[in-house]
Amino acid sequence: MSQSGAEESARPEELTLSQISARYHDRWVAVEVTRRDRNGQPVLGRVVAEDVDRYNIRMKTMNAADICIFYAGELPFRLHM
Amino acid sequence: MPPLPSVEGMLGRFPTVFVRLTGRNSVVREYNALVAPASEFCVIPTVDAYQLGYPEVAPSDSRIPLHNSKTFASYTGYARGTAIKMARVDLGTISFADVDFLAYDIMQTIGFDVVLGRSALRETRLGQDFVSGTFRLERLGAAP
Repeated sequence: MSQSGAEESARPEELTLSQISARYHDRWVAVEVTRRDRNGQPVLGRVVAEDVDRYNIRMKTMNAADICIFYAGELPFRLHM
Repeated sequence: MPPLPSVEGMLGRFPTVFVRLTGRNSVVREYNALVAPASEFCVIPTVDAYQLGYPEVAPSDSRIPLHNSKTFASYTGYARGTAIKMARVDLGTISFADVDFLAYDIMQTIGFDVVLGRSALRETRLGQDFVSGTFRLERLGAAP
């Protein structure tokens, strides 16, 4: 395998936000956004960290200059704010 | 396709939008934020405010009240947060500078990190269509 091929295989897979929500259900994820829609909203990205605790995600991505963090999955209850 | 001059989303169970925050240290963090016109301030977790270059939100001695701390009422009762000015807020193609935020740790079981309150929304026109289940945010002064 070439060096660039090895680097490519080491990179996380590019996923849609729906795929990320399905694969990392009920976990916090940190994503490198690779594509946005006309709204400027993320549609594709690579998951670089995931954890059940949102504070652990911060520790894992402390040195990232630009990262998208969100909760993947259904919320456990309805909010009434 | 040119970018839209507004941000559109689905109301779903909660109206949310991805928001990019640029801190004082030029670090960028993006979050799925709850659009909450009932909230006076925007809210960000303390750890994120710290990573975005606002170390004053984590004082070494918590017994000493900060000059920029604010007491507020929330759904969990009275609480105290630290007021900061976020250097830049990007909502899709809409940008704001120096937006008032409160650094405060909302419960992580809620599933949101950031609340977009009126300190950001006051510069936008927010339309909600409960028939189609969509909302639209556009900057004041933008063509409808």
